[in-house]
Amino acid sequence: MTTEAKPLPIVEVLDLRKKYGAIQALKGISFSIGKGEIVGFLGPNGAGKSTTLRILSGLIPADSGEAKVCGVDLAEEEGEVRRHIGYLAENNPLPEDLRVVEYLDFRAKLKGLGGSRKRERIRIVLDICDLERKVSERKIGNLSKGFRQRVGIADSLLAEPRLVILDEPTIGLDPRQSAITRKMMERLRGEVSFLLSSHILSEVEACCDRMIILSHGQIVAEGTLLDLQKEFINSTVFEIVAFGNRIELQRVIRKIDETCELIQDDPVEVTGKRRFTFATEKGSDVAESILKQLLEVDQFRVSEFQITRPDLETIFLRATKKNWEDQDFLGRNKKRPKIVGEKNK
Amino acid sequence: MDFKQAKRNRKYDTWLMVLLLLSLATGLNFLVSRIDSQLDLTPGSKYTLSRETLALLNQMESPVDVVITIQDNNELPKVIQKLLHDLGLLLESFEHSASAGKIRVHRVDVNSAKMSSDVINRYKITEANLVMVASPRGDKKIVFRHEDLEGVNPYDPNDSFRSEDSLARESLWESGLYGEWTESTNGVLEPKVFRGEEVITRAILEVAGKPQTKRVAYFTRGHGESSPADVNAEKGYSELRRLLEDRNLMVSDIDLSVQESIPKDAKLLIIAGPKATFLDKEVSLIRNFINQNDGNLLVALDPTESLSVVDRPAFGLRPLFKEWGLRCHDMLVYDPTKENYDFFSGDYSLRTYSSKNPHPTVSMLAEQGYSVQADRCRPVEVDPDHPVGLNPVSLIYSSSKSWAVSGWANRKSPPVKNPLLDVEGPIPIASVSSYADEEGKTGSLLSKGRIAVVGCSKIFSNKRLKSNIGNQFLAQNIIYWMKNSYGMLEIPPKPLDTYSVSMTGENFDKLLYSLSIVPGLIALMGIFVGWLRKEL
Amino acid sequence: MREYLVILRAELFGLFISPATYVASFYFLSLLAIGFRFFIESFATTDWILPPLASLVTGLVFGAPALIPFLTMRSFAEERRLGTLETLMSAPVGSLSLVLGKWSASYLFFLLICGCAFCFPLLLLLMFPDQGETLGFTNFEQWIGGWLFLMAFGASFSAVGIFASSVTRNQMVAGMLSFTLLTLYLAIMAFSLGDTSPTESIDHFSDFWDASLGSFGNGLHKLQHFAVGLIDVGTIFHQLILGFFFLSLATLQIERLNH
Repeated sequence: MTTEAKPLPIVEVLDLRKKYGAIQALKGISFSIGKGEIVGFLGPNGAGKSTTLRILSGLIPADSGEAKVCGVDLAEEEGEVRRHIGYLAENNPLPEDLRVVEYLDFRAKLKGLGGSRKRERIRIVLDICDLERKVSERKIGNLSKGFRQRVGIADSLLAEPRLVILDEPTIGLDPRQSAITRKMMERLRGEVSFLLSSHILSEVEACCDRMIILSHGQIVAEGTLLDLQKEFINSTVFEIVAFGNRIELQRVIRKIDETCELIQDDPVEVTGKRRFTFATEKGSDVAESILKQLLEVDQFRVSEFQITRPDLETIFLRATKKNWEDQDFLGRNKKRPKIVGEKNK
Repeated sequence: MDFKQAKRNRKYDTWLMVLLLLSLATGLNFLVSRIDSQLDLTPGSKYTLSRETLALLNQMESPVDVVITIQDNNELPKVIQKLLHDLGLLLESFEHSASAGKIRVHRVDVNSAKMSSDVINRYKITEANLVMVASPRGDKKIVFRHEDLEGVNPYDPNDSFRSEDSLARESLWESGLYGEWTESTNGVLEPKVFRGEEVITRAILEVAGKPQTKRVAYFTRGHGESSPADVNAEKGYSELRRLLEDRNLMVSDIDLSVQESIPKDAKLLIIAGPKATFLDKEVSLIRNFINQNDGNLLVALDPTESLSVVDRPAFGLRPLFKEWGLRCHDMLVYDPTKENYDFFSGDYSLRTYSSKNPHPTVSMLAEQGYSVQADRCRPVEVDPDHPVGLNPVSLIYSSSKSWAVSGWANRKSPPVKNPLLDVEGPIPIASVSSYADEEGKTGSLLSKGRIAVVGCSKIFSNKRLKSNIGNQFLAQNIIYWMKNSYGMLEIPPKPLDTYSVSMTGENFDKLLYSLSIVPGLIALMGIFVGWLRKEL
Repeated sequence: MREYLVILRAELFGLFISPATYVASFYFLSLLAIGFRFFIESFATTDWILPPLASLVTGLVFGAPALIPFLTMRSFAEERRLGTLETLMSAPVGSLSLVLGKWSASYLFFLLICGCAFCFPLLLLLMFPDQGETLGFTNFEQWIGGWLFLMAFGASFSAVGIFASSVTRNQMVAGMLSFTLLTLYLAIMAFSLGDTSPTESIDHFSDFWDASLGSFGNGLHKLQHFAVGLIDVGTIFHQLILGFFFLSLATLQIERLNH
């Protein structure tokens, strides 16, 4: 699962494992991140995204495996890595009763900045994160969630880190605010490597060079959007909007194409129609014949049919679904493969 | 490096660290407790032993245990608590002194159910409220004894009732631990200096200095004397025995008529109210003892009615007294007035009557004007023609209105003064004599012996020693004077700090208002900071 | 060192802007002022034998279990609850400098409050110089002794508070814990007051034990020394060792949290 070799990888991870009590949070993941890359960590809740990020930022140690960040061996000197990275913790906890500038000033000093350089950096990060003067004089406790998130990001950028790790940077933000975050990353693209985790796919799709999809402590897919699409291109994805239940529909389709697979099943509107997304490996011809077949059955009343290219969401769902079906809740290999797959949807 | 390896190292780390820290802290504590160094910031280093003391402590030949059986609690009179505080600090500086480890202080509770303390067993301590200096070789000395009110019946006219505080002050005054008592603003005598250093050093030297071979006080017997084992209030001498034992003297008795010589370990010979005459052999033994062996003799004689001894006056001791410049006529002191008789007990009061250059044995009496309670007395005078070099001194006297009656058994009652035979008052009742000068320097004197004669044996009886402080002082100081082991120590007393306040209620209110400035400022500052931090 | 100073400044600033600090010190000092005034009025008739200045020291030492939690309980418990501890740890900061910084801040604040309390006798001395003199407030060594005693005990007390704060997420629990620990410590010292056993030579295991326990046995007893201007170096060291012990435990605990 390695990507193309970059000259100087910022992050190198090899067979990282971590256990919380009985739960195996990471089951041996390996990846690397090159300089200036923006990498998105995708995965459902509990997939091990935060754990990986916390290990990489030197907050917690792994159980086994090796990790190097900015040339620092994490197992050897976990504290050292903090000098080279910026980290935004999940939920971004901040001291409530400090003003934004006071907080940034404290953080800058903590990170070893002083004098004019400190003032300069604070000015720059405030600018990058679009925190105008009026906001920077306010108490953090009184700021809206979006501003607080930006304060957190500003803090992570303070010491000109080579790698910025953002754990769920856009969670709970409205689309406009997440757009600002994306814009900020765009501005820094190339200078700083970003490693961010999210389960908001559109966002990762929009700004990440590469994504790593985690599920149950394992990497299930990795690569650029194009790579992933290629990996999943051999299957034709088509959407059908129709009435009727899933099982009946699937039975009809399976008559024509054994390999056809239901990926998604969404209600469309109150009328009771549903949007079914299928993937087949036999190409668009088969899809068309499936359509013909479906039109013949009255009960379905197909109103829409569309052959689409797989987007990240599809890839994500496919990749994680496969993995979900193999696992039970504790991450062990599942013996009875049913309910969990249902639950995923 | 693999995380696995790093983790393994760390896992051991935490628990090992906790264990290590615990042992490190314990070990360091132990090491630090060895340091025992104190910085004395007081002007004149009030809590540091003086150089004289340190030099004297070098003479110690055996370790010393200081045992305190006073239980420090809030029920003790304040003066005793103060003593414990002062003594505690002092004893600690003794413990930390150059001869470290040789002086140990023990605070024990003799009444506690768990009698495990080996100090109690070693020194056979049974009494509470004591401060005692003792050495393992068997010497011990009571430095301070505080009698509490337990067992005193406030309705018993024989026991003069006094407050616990006044009792405590008395025992403090008696112990000599404090000096320069002066009346304070509220009319109570308060000490100005603390002499503890001198008292303790003296005690330490006595119990642990050069071992003393002579350390027994012998009571003669065979002449109807009072016994040191007798606890009878009127004529028993067990109280005196206790006084002697408190001062590191062992008490025994001796029948001189069957002895070839007085034992070598005798320090003091006590003749306590004999009823029969001493034989010539016995008198020569005594004479030898004082003259050649530097012995000390304490004699308490009662007036005698018996005519059979007229040929041998003063129970046959008259020649001996004469050699020492004292005279003890077979007379009775009679006081026609009532004012010197105690209303309840009928005891007769003797006084020093003058406080100019008092003899060391009565200096405390003279200073405080205490009286000595006695029964029927006989005169003990200084012989004006005493041998050269001797220094006989009369200590206490009857009143000037009294007179000594000769041949009193045959006189009618009340007697009429016979100017030819009788002697005008004041009549000296107790006298001492020695070759030593007042500083106690004996130099090349004929003898280092000392002799004290008291004209009433009841002065040292249990009842009077117990209930009258004047009698106690007299007995105590005669014993001190006779022991004379470590003269006067030149250890300066330490001034005591006393704190008092005399402010009016108005001033106190003013003080409270001004004190409230401090929290007030804090509150103001809090409000100001809160305002500064407010979001606009 | 730099991180330590930064943390210290931030913590001091935190205490400085926190209303809880002002409320706690206001009430504490008010009670102490009232107590001081009535003590001065009545000490002559009570069993008080130490210099009057020592009353203030006693008041501060026995009041510390109530005051110290207010200064220390927030430090780690609150940060853990809010999650800001993780943010803090993501910066290049060692747990030791973190613990030391937080401890120094609360220690300094404690000393500041003690300093405010020492203004009481100073005010008395300024307003009524004669009375101040008879009360012994002019004895410089008593001020130094009392201050050093407070410094020594304040160091260990605030270390206990920091430790208590590091073991829990709930600041109320942390406050209660440090109150309990400090009260217990004072109670042990108060109970063993009076039966101080000598530590000059080691005859028994119990002697060794007493020596190793340090100030547990005779800490309060030594107040008598400090009160009259007799500085017992051992007591200061004992308290420093106790402080060091609890700070190390707190550091270990903070490190353990992340694993």
